[in-house]
Amino acid sequence: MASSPAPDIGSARISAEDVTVFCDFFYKKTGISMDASRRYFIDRRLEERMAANECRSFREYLSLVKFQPGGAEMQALINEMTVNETYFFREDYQFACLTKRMLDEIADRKDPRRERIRIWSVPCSTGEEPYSIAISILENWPRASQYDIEIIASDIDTRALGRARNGIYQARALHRVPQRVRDTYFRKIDSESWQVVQDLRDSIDFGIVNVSDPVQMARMRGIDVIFCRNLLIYFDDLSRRQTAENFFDALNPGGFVALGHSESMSRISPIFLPRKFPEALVHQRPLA
Amino acid sequence: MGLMKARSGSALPADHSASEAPRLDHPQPMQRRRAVQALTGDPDSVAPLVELLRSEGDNLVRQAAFIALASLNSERAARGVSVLLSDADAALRNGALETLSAMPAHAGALLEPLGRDEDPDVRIFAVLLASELQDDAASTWLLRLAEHEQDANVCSNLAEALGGTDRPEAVPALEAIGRRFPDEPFLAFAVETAVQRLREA
Repeated sequence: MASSPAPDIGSARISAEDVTVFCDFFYKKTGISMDASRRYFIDRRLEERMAANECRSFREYLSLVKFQPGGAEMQALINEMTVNETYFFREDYQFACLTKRMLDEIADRKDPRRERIRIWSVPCSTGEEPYSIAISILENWPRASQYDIEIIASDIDTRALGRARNGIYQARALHRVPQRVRDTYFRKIDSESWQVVQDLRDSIDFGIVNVSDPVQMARMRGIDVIFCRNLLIYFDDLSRRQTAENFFDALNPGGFVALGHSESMSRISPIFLPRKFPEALVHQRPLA
Repeated sequence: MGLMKARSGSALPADHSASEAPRLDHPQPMQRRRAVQALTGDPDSVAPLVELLRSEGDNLVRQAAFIALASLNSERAARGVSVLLSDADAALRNGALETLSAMPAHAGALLEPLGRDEDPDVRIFAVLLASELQDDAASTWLLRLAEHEQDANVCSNLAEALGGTDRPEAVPALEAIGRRFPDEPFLAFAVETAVQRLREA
C-alpha cells in the first residue's frame, strides 16, 4: 500500500484573511495588537510554527493552538511573536528616580520590621531590567539594608524567562555597565559572556504573567513600584485602559508606575496622578 | 534585610473587603468599583452600568464602568452608552464618546439616529464619533449630514471632520455650509481650512 505523500510544510500559504483571523485571536489571548504592517514578521513566524507541527494549513494550525490540551503550542507561538531585545541600564534615568525619590517615599510609609517593599518588572524579557533594578538599589539606595525588598519579574514568553533565570549575557547587553559594577555582580564565563552572580539571580522571582489575563492579574497585589516599559505600545486603546486598571489594583495606595519614554499614562487613563520628579515623570496611584 | 525573593504570594496583604459581596450602591467607591468589575463580560450588565454612570461621581468607578461596557463590544452596549452623549456632564459625554470609539463595529450604526437628534450637542458628538471611526461609511455619513445640517456649531465640527477625510467630493457640501451661514466668519474660516486640506491631500 502506498504511503500518503509527506505534507508540503515548507510552502504553507497564509492568506490576508488568515492573518486577520490570527491577529484577532492573538489579541484576545494576549492583548497584543498586531497590524498588517507587520505582515512579513507574522507570516514568517506562523510558517515556522506550522512547519514545526507539520500542519498543512493555517486552519489546521489554528485548531491545534486553540484546542491543544495544556496549551504548549500557544506558549510556543507567544514566544515567537514577542520581541526580546534590550540591555542593562536602558533608560536608567528611571532607576535613578527609583533610588533617589520613589523608594524613599514608599519606605517612609512602611514599618521595616513588618512590611516589605515590592517592585515588579513586567515584561522583564530576558532579565536585563530586573537585574538593573536590583543593582541600582544595592548600589544607590542608602536604606537598602534596612528593608526587605522583593523584585518580581514577569513575562509572557517562557523562553525569555528561562534566559533571564540563567542570567548569561553577551557583551552587547552589558555595554552600559561600568567595569566596577560588572566585576561586582557578574562573573566572566568566556571571552564574550558574563553571568549574573548566583546571589543576585536567586533574589529575583521570575514567573509567567499575562497582563491581559484578569485571573493572573488578580494574583498581583501589594506592589509598590511597577516598571512596565514599552509593552503598552503593542496594545490597542481598550487593552491599555484595562491594563492601567489592573496596575491600579496591583499597586498599594501611593505606588508608582514607570512607563517607557514614548508612552504616556495620561493618554491612557485618568486614574493615576502624574508625578514629575527631576529624573523622570512617573504615575502614582493616589494615596486615598 | 535587603533583596529577597518573593514567597509565592505569601506577602500579599489580606483583602478583607473581598469577602463582602460587591454592590453597585455601596457607599465606598472602591466597593462600587469592585461591583462593576464583577459585572465584566455580563451582557445583562448594560442597563445597570449605564444607570450607575448617570449618578456616579467617582472617576475611578466611572472609568471601570466604561471599560466594562467597551469590553462587551456589542450593539446593546453601544446603544446603552450612546444615551450618555446627551448627559449634562461633559466628562460623562467624553467618556461615552471614548467608549463608543472602542466599539467601531457597533458604533457606526448609531450615527444615523444620533445625527437626527434634536440636541445639537448630541449631533456634535456624533460628528466627533464619526471622525474617530475613520472608515468609509462614517465619512459618507459626515458628507450627507453636511448637506443639510442647520446648526452652525455642528457645521464647524463637520468642517473639521471632513477636512480630515480623503473625500474631495465633500468640497461642494463644505462650500454650501459657508453659503448657509454668511454671518458666521468662524465658519467661513473652518470651511476654507477644510477645503484646503482636502485639496492638498
